[in-house]
Amino acid sequence: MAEKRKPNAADDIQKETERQFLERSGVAALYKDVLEKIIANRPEDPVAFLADYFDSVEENTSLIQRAEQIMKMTHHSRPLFQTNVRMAYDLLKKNKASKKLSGVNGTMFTQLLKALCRDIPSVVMQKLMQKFECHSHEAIPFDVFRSGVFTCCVLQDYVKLSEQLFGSLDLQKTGKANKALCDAVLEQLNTALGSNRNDTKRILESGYNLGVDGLYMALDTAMGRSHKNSSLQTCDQFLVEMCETFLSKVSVIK
Amino acid sequence: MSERPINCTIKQPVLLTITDTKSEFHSGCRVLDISLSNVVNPERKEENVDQVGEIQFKNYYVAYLTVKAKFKSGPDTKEGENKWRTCVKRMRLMPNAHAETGSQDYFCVSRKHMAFELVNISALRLILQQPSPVWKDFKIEELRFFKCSETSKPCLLPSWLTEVTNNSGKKKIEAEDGNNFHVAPKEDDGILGISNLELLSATLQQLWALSEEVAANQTNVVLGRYEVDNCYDINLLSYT
Repeated sequence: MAEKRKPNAADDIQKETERQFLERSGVAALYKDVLEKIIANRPEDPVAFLADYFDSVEENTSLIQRAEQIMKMTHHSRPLFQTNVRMAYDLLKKNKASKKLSGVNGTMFTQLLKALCRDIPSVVMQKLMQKFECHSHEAIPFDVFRSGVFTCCVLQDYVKLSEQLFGSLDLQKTGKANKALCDAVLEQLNTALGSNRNDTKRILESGYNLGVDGLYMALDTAMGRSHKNSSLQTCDQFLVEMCETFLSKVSVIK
Repeated sequence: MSERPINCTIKQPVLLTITDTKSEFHSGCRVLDISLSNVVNPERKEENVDQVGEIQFKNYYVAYLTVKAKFKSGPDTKEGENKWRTCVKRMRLMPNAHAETGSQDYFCVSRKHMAFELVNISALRLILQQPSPVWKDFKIEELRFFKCSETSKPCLLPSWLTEVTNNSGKKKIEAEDGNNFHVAPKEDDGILGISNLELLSATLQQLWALSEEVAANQTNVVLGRYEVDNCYDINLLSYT
């Protein structure tokens, strides 16, 4: 932030008014900005939002961190997310004027995606990065940027939900669930995702299959088929398999 | 609510007459015999295979209907015991035998009209009566028999789904009794229930939605690479 404090600033403090002080130290602009952002984003946890914001404002934060913070300001399901993505893109684009060239290149894009995916299992992240593999010299258009960032944000939710799903499949809470059950659930999801988005009948069928009745039938048959000593699956294995389903929907950038 | 029709053989109705060929005596009574097929459905052995739940037909100038049933002779039935029993007695189809009302209506004789359940029967006999001489002919059409609709018997959830509450209860009791909480559950090992199928379903649907959302948001914009798959293959390059 723009701080032009003179060495003998303490003497001036007495003379200047409060407003002048705020403006000189840049606090006014900072607060204006954060208030604008918090009102626009309406976060569920405003205090955490403020903390994140001020973290990113620190001078030693990298562009990537700041872009990540902007991205995390609002949930990806909200319309404002698109605006934030644009903001982050512009931020990355503008400040890359170290040489003659400016703009978002492959390195920054990859770094940002990795930062966004910090919480997800590394195996899944590797697979995701294969989809978004790009060279450091390549310029990333906004559409590619948006698509990649959006995928990462959704994937985080997806992983969380999958963990939750595993929790309800892990009946004895031992950290391992019956593989037959897991496979049945996965298969249901795969069939649903396999349906063409224009084929209404298939979509309806898939919807039913994922409903309580359909799921019950599928699980019942799965349990019927599996033996008592069937193999078990850990949460990580399950997550990887679930994410593979997800990643099959992500297209490779060209 | 799947009503299943029953296979059966419906014989031609017989007009009851007094055995005198000269005088054309109109008795106003016809008998219709139905023999139910003896094919046993192997899937549903435990159920009453030949339970007739409903009789549907279209009336044609029949005033009264009586249904008699003949039971199958089981191993423990005595001789002469399996005779005809009246299940529906003189059910009125036409309020007034001389008038048109109800003469060509559709009827459905269900369990509530019957005196007993039509279980394990080998044959049915319908007695049609039309006391009024106004009508030239009387019969019933489109006669069909149906098994009981399954709505009365809700499908039971299998044990592994419902047992979880029982199990936790059992466990708690065990824990209170003699702290053998960690003793492995005896035979239900591995077939314990899913606690919350609705949550499971909701989660899965959300996952589905997320995946579809991402699929819809994939970009078509290309980075403008010149590489074509395998174009830098060493074999190809060596030719040029």
